[in-house]
Parts: sequence; structure tokens; C-alpha cells
Amino acid sequence: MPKTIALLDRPSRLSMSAVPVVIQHHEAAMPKVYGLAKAPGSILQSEALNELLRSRQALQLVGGESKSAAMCFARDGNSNPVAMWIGDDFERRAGSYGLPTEIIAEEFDLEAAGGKALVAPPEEVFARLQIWLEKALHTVLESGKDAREVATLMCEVIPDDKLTRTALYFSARDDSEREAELSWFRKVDRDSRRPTNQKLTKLRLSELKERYKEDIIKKCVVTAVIGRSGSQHGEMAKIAYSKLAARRVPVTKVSFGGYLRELRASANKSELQDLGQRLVEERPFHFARSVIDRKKAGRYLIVDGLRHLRIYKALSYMFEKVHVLMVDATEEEVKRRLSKEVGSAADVESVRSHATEKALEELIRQVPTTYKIPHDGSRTLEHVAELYANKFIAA
Amino acid sequence: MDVIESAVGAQAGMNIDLRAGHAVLSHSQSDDGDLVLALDVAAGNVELLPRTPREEEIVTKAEKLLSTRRPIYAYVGFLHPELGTVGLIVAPGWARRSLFVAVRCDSGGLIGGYGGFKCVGEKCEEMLLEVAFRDEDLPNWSGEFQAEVKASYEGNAFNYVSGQTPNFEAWKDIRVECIRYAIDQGEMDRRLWSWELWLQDGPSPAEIEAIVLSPENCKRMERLVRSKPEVIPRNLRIIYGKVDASGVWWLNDPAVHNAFLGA
Repeated sequence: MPKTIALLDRPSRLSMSAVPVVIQHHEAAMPKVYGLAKAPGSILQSEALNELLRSRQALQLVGGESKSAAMCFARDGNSNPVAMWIGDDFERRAGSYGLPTEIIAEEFDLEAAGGKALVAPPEEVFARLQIWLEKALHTVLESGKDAREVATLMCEVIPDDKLTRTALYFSARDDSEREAELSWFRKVDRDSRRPTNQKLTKLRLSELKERYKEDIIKKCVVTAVIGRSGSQHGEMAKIAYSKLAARRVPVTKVSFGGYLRELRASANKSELQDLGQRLVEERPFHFARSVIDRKKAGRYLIVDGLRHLRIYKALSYMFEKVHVLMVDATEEEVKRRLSKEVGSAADVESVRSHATEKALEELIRQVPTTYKIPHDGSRTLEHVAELYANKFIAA
Repeated sequence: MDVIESAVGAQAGMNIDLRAGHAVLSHSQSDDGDLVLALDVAAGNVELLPRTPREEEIVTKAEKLLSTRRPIYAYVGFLHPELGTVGLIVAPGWARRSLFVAVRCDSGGLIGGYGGFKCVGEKCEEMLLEVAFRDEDLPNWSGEFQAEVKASYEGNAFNYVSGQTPNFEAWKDIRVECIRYAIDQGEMDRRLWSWELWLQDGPSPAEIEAIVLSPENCKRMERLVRSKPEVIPRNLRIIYGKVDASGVWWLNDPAVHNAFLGA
């Protein structure tokens, strides 16, 4: 198992960050730096590492062995993972403002003085940071309470992110503070040669404010349609979507399976299952986010094909309400439909015994279903979708 | 985040007046020690002093070969993340005023036999003398550097500052062997061909064109701007490192590369 030795850029107790990580693949190997964009796996001489630690430019990790790092390299030896860091003070302060970090820090398996970390693909870490920032911005714009404190805490994540800037601007105590913030944003952009313009920036911040006040996160009501392969959960999601759309409910539908098929158009069912399982293990938040972001969400969102508890937790972290609509079917029906879809009995068995199907069983055991639809032939999908729509609208 | 790439191809055929990069090290016990030192130097409150070398014995050996004093080191058009989290980008005037040795590569790496320099072995001291400019040879360094960039990067200095491997086959010194060795070993490092400057004193505030910050130092800067804005020199250019879905960027992104070109 690779040994994680240190975090570069010495993240503080106050911050939540993506930072480069120093990893030694085996005892005799030279330590390498991962997580720097465009410079994956640069060798770091031991003397250089010691100097960085001595001069407080790096942070020593305790223990060292990391499952999260091992997973990053297990499938791709050339990957360039990064460390996600959450400082103790950041965690405490975020919790006190109603912005807990437990869900995004669930698999953290590394410790250092003042905080904890995990190693993950950069897309995953960036997705987690963004999701937290979105929640924080909502708190700033909606509650008003502790708004300035939350905005400055957002600075400890990504200070020049547009979400952080929106929060800083609109939480300013008066016009002069707002002007000072805007002037600083413009200086940073100008100095880093990013396009900038005062009017555009003001307008852009206002647009962002409006967008996030009304946007999907938190306010959007999600229905996750779940069901075994062959249970017609996809059909159910489509019909439920049509029922709601027909009633002029602002609804959007996305599908995990559809997203996977977009990624690998030529893959068969079993290969798509493998891909889905891999994305859940490697980058659950990025996976969930990628599926959700495929369409601009309305007030209601139907998510088809959820299978993993980890993804359910990610969705529950992103959205205030996640209902679960479970479609069940008899064994006979499931086998018959799968046989039509994948062919031989062996292939049917392979689909049914895949880890994603096992994950679904765990999800069903652990998550309360809001609507359960026994699809045993006594009622048509059309009929149960109608019931769902009625119940949903009433709720 | 959008970064404007400058049309640096326009450098072709022009005089290449690259800025120097120096990574600040404060040896402070405070997490914001390096940032505070960089701001103090930029404000003219303190003078930048030579860093204590990481490997004193090796560095001292190199220094004794070429001079009698400890320099402030800088690279031409380059800041290495291994050397720090806060960098200074300094105008060419610093080197014109204060330079006493220039080397075609990293002198400490060459004497210490690190990475691609490992192949040099016992002849490292002789080789260092061969790739260094000092005394009466010193004024030639700039012309030699420009000629090398023009010949090895088709005149496009952006390729040098962004760390691309040069067309080195026509070179006549030990670096050719070192780069080939590094390629074989999978240990490529731009310090094999990045030019190093030895300067006798620190840059003046007017010579400091920008400070470059790692993402964690950007957070420290944000705290300062809201608590003690007076410590940030008014006209100092500040280049932020960033984090995005491709990883962490600091000291090595297009904004920094362009700053080395004066853009």
C-alpha cells in the first residue's frame, strides 16, 4: 500500500483545501508529489521534503498508509490524485454555522496536526469543495445570520471562487465594504490577468445571487427512483416525469444509466455496471454532480437509477429533500426483462450478481422509501405513476 | 478560471528580457512567515537575505568553486514549488545590478548529483565551472542565454518559462548527457536546463514586479486584506495560485509564465 508522507502548502487548522500530497509507493522508491496540475508524480528528494517540513511549508502526515491513496493508483498507475484537507477549526466553525462537513469527509483516512485528509482524484475533491461552497452561499443569502462569518469561512476554501466572492460581496456590512471587496476582486483578477470589468463584475455577482437564491440546491425537491435491474425503474421515472410535466410542474429528469451510456456509448450492460461501480468508489460526489448537472434543474428533480448509499448520502448533502421511489417487481418479471435485454441466462446472472445490485440491496435496507411500488402486475406503471404524482404534488 | 494567454510567439526574434524568480523562505515558526517576509521585502521594510541552504555542505562546495560569498539565488523565468510557497518575480534590473555568477542549470543539483545530474559523477566540479559565467565572462551570460532560448525554443520564450523540454541536442555541455539520463530514468526536472542567477543583494521594492502565492497563501492574503490591508504594498502585483478540477496550481501557471515575460 502506498505510504502518504506529507501535505505540501501546509494547510492550516482554519482551512478546507485541495493540496498536493507526497506519496512513497514502496520502501525503496523515491517520494513523489501528486496533485500539482501539469506535473504529476514529480520526484521529491528526501532532503527537499525534510527542508519543506522544517521550514513549515509542508505538513507531516501521521501513520501514512492510506486506502484512499491505494485506490487512486489501483486502477491507474499514472493518476494524479490530490489530498483534500479539513482543518479542525474549520470543521468546528462550519458545524456551528449549520454547514457540517461529516458527509464530505466520510472516508477521510489520514491525520496530521490540526486536521484530517483523504487522497482522491482532483475532480472529486473540487466537486466536494464546490458543493460545500454552494451550501455556504445559500446560508449567506438566505439566513443573513452569521452571513459575514460564513462568507469569510468560504475564503478558507477557495477565496477567489465566484461563490465565495458573491458571499463576500452581499454579506458586506455597508456600501463602502462592498466597494472594497469589489475593488479587491478586480485587483486579483487584473493581477492574474483574468478578464475583469467593474460593471460586469457587479452584474455578474447580482446574477449569481439571484441564481443561487432560486437555484436547485436545497430548494429543489428530489425523487430518486430506485429498483433492481429489470424492474422497469427507468420506465417508471419517465412516466412519473411525464405525469408531473403534464401538470406544468417545473420538473427535470436525469439518469445515472443515461450518463454512463453517454460516457461509454458502445458498452454493454455489464461494462456499464463496472464503470458505475468504479465511479462510485473513486469519485462519488463528482459522479453525482456530473449526473445532476446534465440538465438545468427545475423545482423538482427526478433522478433515475440510484443504487449506492454513498450516492444517496451525496444527494442528501446537496439537496434538502430526497424522496425515494422504489419500484419492485417479481423475480419472474425481472428475469424475463433482463433476458430480453442482455441475452443468455449466464449474462442475466452476471448482471444480477454485480456489486451494483448488492449495493442496491444495502441502500434499500438503510434508506426509508417514501413511495414503494409493488409492480406485481396488479397495477400498471401508468397507474402507480399517477398515484405517485398525486401524492407528490400533495406533499 | 480564465487566464489570458499572452501572444508570446511575438517574442520570436526580439530581445528576451526575462524576469528572475526567487522563492521566499523566512524560517519563521509562523505559518504566514513567508508571506509576511515577501510583503515586507516588497514594501522595503526589510532586505531579502540569502536563504540558508537545504544542504549546506553541497551548496557551500559549489559556492566556493565560483565565489567567496553566499548569494541570493534566483532562476531565470522560473519558480519551483519545491523551493517555496511564496515567490517573487523580479525585473531584469536586479540581475544587471547585482549579479556575480550565472549558471546554465541548477548548481546545487549538479554538485549534489541529484536526479538527472546523477550521471555526472566525480567530474561535477569541473562541469560546474564549464557551465558557469563569472568574472570577465559574466557579461556574456545574457547573450548566451538569449541565443540558447532562441535556438532551443524556436525563439518562443514562453516555452522556456512554461518548462517545456528544449531542443537540447545541439548543446555542447554536460546538460545534454544529464537530460538524456533524466529521460531514461523518468526523472525529468527543468532545473537541468533552467538558468540560475547568483545575486549579491536583494531586490529593491521597485524591482519586484509581482509576488506569486500558493493557494494556502492566498487564504492568508485574504485574511490580511480584511484585517491589516496597510501591510500590502499598494502597487504590488499579486498572482494567486488556484485549485480546480485538474489539481493545484502554484508558481507554474500561465499567469506566472506571462509575468516572467513582463506581460
